[in-house]
Amino acid sequence: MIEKTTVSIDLADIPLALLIDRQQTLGSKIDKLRAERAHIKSHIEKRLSAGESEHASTDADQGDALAPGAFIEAAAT
Amino acid sequence: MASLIYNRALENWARGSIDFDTDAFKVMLTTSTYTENKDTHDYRDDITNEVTGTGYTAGGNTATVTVTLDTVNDRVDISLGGTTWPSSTITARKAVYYKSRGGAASADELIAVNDFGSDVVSSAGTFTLNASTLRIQN
Repeated sequence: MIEKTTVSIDLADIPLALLIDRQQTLGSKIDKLRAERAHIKSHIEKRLSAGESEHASTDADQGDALAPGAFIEAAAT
Repeated sequence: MASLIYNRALENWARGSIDFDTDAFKVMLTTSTYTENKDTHDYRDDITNEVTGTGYTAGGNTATVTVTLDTVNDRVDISLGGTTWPSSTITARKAVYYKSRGGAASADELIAVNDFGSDVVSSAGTFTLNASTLRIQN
């Protein structure tokens, strides 16, 4: 079991400089996450456009088989 | 060997004993051991080495057949419908279409054979047979 503890801090008790620093740190993290998200997204788009499917094969899929149809022509001329 | 129309199928069609619009048709699977002969094979009892395996019933499945007239290109296309064998374990090389009269194999007229070119194998999965087309070009 993982215990979750929530600590409430009254922002009014935190010095302004610390709040500004905290805000900037969060902003920096958000920017990094956005950049990482864009990077992953570009990889996804590249792989999807290359024909890869997002659905992973299942065991049942691996046992499937596809027999091709035939085209047979009989000329009447 | 290649996919082909049995000669007798064309004769039966010409004589009216095969009506692609109204008759019932089925498709059966064979192994690579079956060697088709367009001259001498005329009824289903000529077909040897039908596949056996989980999910497959002797005689095969019903096939939907449709006829399309193309007056622009002067031809008639006969579509031999595909089918599936779900949850099957089958090794097949050829599909043989025939008119199903619901009785003895010796009464079922052969239509055509589709040679896949290599063995197609399903293993506890769905064996899907794509539709084939017979084209009579004028």
